[in-house]
Amino acid sequence: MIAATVRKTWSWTPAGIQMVVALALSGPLLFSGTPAPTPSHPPQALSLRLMPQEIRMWGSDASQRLVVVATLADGTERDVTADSRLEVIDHEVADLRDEAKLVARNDGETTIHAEFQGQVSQASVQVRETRTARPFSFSRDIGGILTRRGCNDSACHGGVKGRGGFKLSLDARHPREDHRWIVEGGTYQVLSPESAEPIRPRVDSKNPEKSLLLQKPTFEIPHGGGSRFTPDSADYAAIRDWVRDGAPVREQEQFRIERIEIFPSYLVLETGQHRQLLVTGHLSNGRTEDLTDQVRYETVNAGLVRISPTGRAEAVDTGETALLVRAPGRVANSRIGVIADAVSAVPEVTRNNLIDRHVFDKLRKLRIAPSSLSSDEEFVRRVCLDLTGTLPPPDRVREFLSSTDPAKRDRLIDTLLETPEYIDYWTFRFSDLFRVSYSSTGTPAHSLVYWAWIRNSLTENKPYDQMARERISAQGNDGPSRHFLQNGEASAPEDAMPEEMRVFLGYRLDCAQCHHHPFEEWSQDQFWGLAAFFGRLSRTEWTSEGAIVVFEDPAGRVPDYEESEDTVKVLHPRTGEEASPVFPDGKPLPKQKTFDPRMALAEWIVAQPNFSRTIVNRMWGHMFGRGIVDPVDDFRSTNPPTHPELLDELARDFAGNGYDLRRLLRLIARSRTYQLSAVPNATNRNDMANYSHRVRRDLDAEILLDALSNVTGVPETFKNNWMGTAPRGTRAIHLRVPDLYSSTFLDIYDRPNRASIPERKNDASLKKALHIMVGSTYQEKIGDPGNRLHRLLKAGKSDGEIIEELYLRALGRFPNDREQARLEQVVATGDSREETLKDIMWAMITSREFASN
Amino acid sequence: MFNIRLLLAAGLLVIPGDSRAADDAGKAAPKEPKTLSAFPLGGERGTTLEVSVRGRHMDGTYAGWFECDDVEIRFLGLEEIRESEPDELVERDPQAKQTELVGHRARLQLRIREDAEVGLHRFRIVTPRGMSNALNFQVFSEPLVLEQEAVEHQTVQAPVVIAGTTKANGELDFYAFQAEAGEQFHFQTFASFPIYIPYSAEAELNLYAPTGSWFDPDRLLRLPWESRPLSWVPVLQSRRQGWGAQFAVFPKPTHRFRNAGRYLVSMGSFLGEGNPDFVYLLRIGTEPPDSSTVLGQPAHPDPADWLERDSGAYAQHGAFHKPLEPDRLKLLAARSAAPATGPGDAEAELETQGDTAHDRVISLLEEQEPNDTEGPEVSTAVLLTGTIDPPGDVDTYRFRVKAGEGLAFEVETPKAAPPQFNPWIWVSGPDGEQVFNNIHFEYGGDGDDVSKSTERKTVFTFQQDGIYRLQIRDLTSRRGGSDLAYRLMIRPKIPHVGRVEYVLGVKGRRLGPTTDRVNLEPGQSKTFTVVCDLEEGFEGGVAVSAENLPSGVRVLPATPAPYTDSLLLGAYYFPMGLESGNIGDFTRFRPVRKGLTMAFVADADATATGTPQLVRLWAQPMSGDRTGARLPLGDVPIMTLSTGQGAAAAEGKKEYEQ
Repeated sequence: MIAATVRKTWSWTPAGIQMVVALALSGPLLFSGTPAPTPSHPPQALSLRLMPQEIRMWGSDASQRLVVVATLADGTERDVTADSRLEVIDHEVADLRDEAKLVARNDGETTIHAEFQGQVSQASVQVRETRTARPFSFSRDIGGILTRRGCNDSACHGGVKGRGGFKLSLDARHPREDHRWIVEGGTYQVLSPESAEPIRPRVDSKNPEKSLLLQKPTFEIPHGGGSRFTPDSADYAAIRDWVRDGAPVREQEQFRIERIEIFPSYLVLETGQHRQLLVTGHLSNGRTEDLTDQVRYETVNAGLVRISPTGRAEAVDTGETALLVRAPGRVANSRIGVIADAVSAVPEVTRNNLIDRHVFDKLRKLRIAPSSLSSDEEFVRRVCLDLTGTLPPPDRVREFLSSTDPAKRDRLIDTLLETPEYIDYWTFRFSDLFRVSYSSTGTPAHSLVYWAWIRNSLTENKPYDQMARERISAQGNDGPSRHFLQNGEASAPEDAMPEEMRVFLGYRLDCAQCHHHPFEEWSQDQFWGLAAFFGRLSRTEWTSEGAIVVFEDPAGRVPDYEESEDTVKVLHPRTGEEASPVFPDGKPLPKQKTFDPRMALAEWIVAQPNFSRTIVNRMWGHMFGRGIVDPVDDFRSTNPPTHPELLDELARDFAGNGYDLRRLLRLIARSRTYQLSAVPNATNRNDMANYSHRVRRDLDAEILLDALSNVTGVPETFKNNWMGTAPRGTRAIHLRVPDLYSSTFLDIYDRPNRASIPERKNDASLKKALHIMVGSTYQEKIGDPGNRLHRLLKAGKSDGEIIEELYLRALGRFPNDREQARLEQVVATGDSREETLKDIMWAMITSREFASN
Repeated sequence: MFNIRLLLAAGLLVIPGDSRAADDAGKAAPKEPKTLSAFPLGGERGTTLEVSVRGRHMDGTYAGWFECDDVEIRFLGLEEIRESEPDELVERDPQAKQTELVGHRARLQLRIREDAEVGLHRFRIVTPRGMSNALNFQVFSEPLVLEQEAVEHQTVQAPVVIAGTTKANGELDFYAFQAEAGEQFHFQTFASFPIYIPYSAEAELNLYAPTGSWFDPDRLLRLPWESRPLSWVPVLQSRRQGWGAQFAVFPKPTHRFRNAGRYLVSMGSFLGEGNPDFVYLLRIGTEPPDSSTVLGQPAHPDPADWLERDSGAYAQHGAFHKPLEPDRLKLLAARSAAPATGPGDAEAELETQGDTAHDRVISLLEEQEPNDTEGPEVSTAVLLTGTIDPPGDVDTYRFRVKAGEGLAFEVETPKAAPPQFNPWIWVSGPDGEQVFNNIHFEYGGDGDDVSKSTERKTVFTFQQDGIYRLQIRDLTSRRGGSDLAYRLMIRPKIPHVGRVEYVLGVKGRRLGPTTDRVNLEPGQSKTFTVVCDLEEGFEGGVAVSAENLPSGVRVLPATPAPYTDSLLLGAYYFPMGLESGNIGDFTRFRPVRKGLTMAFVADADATATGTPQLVRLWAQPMSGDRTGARLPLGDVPIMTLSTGQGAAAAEGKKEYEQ
């Protein structure tokens, strides 16, 4: 009936278009002009650094590449190695070769000096064990060649199934498997240890030169990967000699690379500049080794930065990208920002807290000026939506705008964090993350208690590490235990474990279920070792109506139909052996904890540095629309953070202050970084990753629908699929089990179904555009005879008052003079006052300014 | 698990609980009266109040009838209800669309005696076509306050019982009350919501403080309950007639208020369904509920109640509250016609030593910590009491058995019960290997699921002499405390007759009552089934008799009802190709269940009773030539009608529809 009325009395009119245009053109979000940058001049060197500052070399063939970096008057750094004069004091200890490479000669100590433009720097040199060669190690020596030459890259033999019938582990991460594939041969099958094809070794011990491992990369016989090295290369000789020697493993644990470090970890170059990277390996024996010439370099964006095989980075175009360095068994990354040389110095900006220090320091390096502080109008709407998912009421906007209290922003943040709407909103957010849904638990009552646990946890501001422990190790019949029920059955270990790891540690391990992770260090053994922590996850059914109790059963989980008790064990799919709980570092679960393995895992998870990083990053992503690591739960070496030091410091601060989510949000909201305007300047217009200005984003489906209901004054009616209706006034973010409530609007606007961890995209689509034009949600709310517009008309409000009220409510600001005058004129000249005001309301709630934050 | 909602939507599942499908299917048979709700749902002792009963086919109502004398009932009048049913209900039952849905509202005056038992009393309305189904009426000790529809936040003062209705979808009723700082409140609900999804929560309570908000000065802040927001509450079979569900989800929360002030509680249906038959009681009190204040429990114990399994349930769901006392062996002896004397039976051996299992004395022992790994040796006739505290606590005992000896292990949880406290019993042998535990595997759901359940009683016959170790703990290692108290009895296995109960009617493949009364015209007969649980190897028979039959009505044996033995196993569905729904050791946890079909037969000259009367059925164990004690198996409400009442009623309804 209402819908019919709407169709009859209100329809989309050309005036609506005019309103949209009017709003779009007059909003405060237009790019504002900023002063043109002044050109820079070649500056003088103020200081010099010879890197590394302390050189330690072990072994007869030890060497160390050197880099000389000058700090210039404009604050930038340049690689001046080629233009510097280098001198070793004691040539008997070490000597220089081409390309600034220091080579060990005899045990002893000396100093090396560098000089450039009158600036000097020196480094100490210590050389040891020059009479001893480092013993052969398959992983370091053969694996190193395969890594450096790209043979074990994920696009080549390091792919999941290998290539051309030859499988290698990515970056030689699993040397014993590599040795077997090379020496014994065989093709790889994902779920079986058996070879699918006849076994064909890659080495020929009788005729080493006839080994496929040499003939293929030298292109003596056709090779899809082309020529990787030549027969006269050192790599060829190394492999040939190894084969000749019987192709031994001879793993040397003490020389295993534990970690690699790149200098510099962050670098800013002007276009056209270059910089030599230094790569240091930290070995398991505690020593370091220069790996600069032993690794493989990759650039994530070759359009911005090129990288040579020897580690020389060259800036091509402005922007920011990452460089990846691959050593046997290890990957590390370094970020490089490229700036235009004409950018002038960046002015100092007020810093409110540690966030600003990190963000503005980096912006300064990148020669990006942050936008100005947001206006009060911009801020009040933004912070209300980000902290509570709720539009500020007009009276509160007026009150805030008229206040002269210099601390009013901080006060507002504190107030919002104590509102019931804060609880509502973050319960909704965490219900998303923790997947409270009917489709997951299979029973509304289960979902309710799960939801209640989340809400209660947030109400009492429960420390997040406690929330994590309660969920990961959940047992019994309480809220978090419902998470481990899939349609009433206990979750399978291979499903439950990756979700916990992704939610709490930001790692996506799913790939490793069937094979070693194709891009990361996660092995299939690690996956099943972790999955085994969930191998006893079981449940009893106290009633046939769903009072299910989750517990750890030594007999294993409940077998499904046609499963025997044997098949409910956690079996490694390739080996067929029962998997035991093993932490990723290879340590097995202590025996005394075997009865409660998930509790031990929970303790391990919350003790990981990435635990705090992940939640900090997640909350940051909510507040800024983009994580410091993005996507927010995809931490991996090949997806480095934009601000690693900031992320680490925030994580330490979070852990050191009781894992307090409210405190974290307060810290973020109080930063100037968060409060920057969305209006960009000439220096930051293209910056989308460094938080130099607010990057507006579309409201999520539920927030948008609630905002529509708020502005129009017409609450949504949510009917569920079980014949009931949510209480009148229920907001979309209040729906505790949302997938029980069908909603055309929410579906069109990409509400996730929570069958998996939601990843909201908010992409533009034709169906959204059509819904704005003719969709029932907009039409019914605007046409509702009891809506806010009708109430304002009934109260005798003037056109100007109505327009102001709608602006304040929808956009959190007063209309500017031009908007006010133009819209009053439109109403005055329209055929029908009411219809024209409806058009204005429609234009307002369909505007970009309204639908984004 | 199968999706009931899906089946409902697809029209593949007829809900037995909603008898309209059968009632309104166009049959020519006269309609028995059907009541849907009573408002208010309860009243205070010593008061007189008017109660409105809604239902169908109530034309001709001339009386009301309680099964006991605690409440006097007087019929005041009958009104027609011409409103149609909510669309949701019509959609749910396609058959209902074919019939114009009208009903009646009967006005009854109830006088509750000062000494009336607190609890649920069953009552019916009486028409010339017989008595209606039973409705529950709660008697309580606190003042009754009726919901005021026009008041947004109705103020009440504890202790109080509020009677209300959630008439419309999405309706929430708010009640405001005053609390002092540190004061603890106890809330209870008892609702009669005709929701047909048994494992959904029915009523829902929420607590609020009127704090206001920066956004909205009238905003209520929802407070977390101090205790669990939901509880699984046993529901009498009669309330769930035909559906077979024994549990509903009702909130029974408590809350201690930190600050003095005005607070609110909202009452609604969990999934937002509502109609005029969604009636409820809400108790708000500052004292924890006891037997005189608890809602939803029967005022008079079920005569068939026996300290073993729940009514209507084959599994031991919810039976952990059945009390265990030192006289248990005597009670078991009364239900056993003769002691078991099978070859190799340990009891026979004991008997030869001048001691029968029945005569043994149950000793008492309280646990002494520390006993996580080692504990005292106890006899095999002992009642152990202890507490699981702290979380992860394990209590250990040892006992000595001889090969072939059969023991029963029963556990009672007098305070917290499943699913909050789930006692887990492990018994390991002399070699340290586990011999058995009290988790039972069984096929459930739609047949392709296997469920585990912790069992209240486990029976085991030992194969080896030796000292065995028994350990008891909670199923989780997260809970512990004084609430997790247990009473664990180890005793000789004693074959006996367990629960015996009657079931009126059998529908489909499920054993469950399709009606709760017997209205008989002269010359009519109605069959019923007696279900006997033969526990711990009882191999004798059971004799059934009846008392207080109306004149001209007899109870006779009948040919077996058209269902298979599998129905008696209590499992609703079976996987294709499987003989049994059980994959574990069946006899360790389940009795052998036998069914006996009988009939109430009204002679052609049987005279109308005018009002219902209760017929007491009895069972008596038999073994060889010995008989055991008479066991009450229930009271059946029976009413004999005048000949031709059915035809007259049909004619009356025809006129009514015109």
